[in-house]
Amino acid sequence: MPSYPIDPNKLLEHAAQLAGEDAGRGRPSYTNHRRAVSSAYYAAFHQVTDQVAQRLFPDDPSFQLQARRSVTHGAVSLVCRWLTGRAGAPQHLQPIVQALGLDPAVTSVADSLIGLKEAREEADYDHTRPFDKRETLTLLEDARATVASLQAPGPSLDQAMALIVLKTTPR
Amino acid sequence: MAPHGQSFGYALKSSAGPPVVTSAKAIELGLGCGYACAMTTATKLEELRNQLVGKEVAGTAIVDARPELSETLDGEDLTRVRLVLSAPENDTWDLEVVHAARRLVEEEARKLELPNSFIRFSAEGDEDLEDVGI
Repeated sequence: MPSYPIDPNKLLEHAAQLAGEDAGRGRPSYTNHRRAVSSAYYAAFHQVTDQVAQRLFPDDPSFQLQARRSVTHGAVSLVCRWLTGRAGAPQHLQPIVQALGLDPAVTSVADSLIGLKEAREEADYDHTRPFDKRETLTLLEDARATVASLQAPGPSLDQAMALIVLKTTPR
Repeated sequence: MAPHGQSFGYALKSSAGPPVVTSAKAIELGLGCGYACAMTTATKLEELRNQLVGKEVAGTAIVDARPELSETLDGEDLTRVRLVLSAPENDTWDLEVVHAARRLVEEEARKLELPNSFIRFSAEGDEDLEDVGI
């Protein structure tokens, strides 16, 4: 079966083009900035889905592509809120969440995913919300750093992906 | 319900009368949520602003803060804060600044028992930028 994986790095490149990263000064295009913010979030989100799928099917890239569709925005967001103390985790997971939440590498990625998701929702749905070039580029940098961290995760960040697997699996 | 200031007790009042610590400080001192719980939402938002403006995050000054209560697309309460920072030298703020700002705002919002926070970043001088619908 042919496959056309959603590549986070390509999404980041697209976001950079839309954000006018290499363009000079001038009047910003708000629509392009909205789409840049959205693509930046999706780059980070799809890097999460990739990591989760690799944990589940480490030896089968084809299965990984199928599994990535099961990872939801809600599951990623909820686990990030557990890890940053914004929401309480189920009691039986609290020892894991508390241990992983001590690692700044985990909490900074979780913070970024929460911030990028909320920005993406504003970019896509809030008609009153402008995104200027500076904020757009800052969010793009945040997404780049998040993708880079997820592509080479330390042990705690890798384990945090397991929490997303648990949350993605219905009880 | 005790009026503002009375729940502090003598230890936090000057002999002249008015409280000598802010509400957030009272909470930080371990005096419980009594004062925050007695505050109106508007007062909490104002207090959040007071706690943020003038501070620095990773070497960048918080020039202004405009918090408001809102909600996410999923209907969860959210404290949206428009944070006006001193302009960076280059196109963007360092991620250190972004992360430190998120942590600070979340921490201060939590002390005041406000919902989870979300920051919109603006540079000093650009804060009144309006969308022109392009």
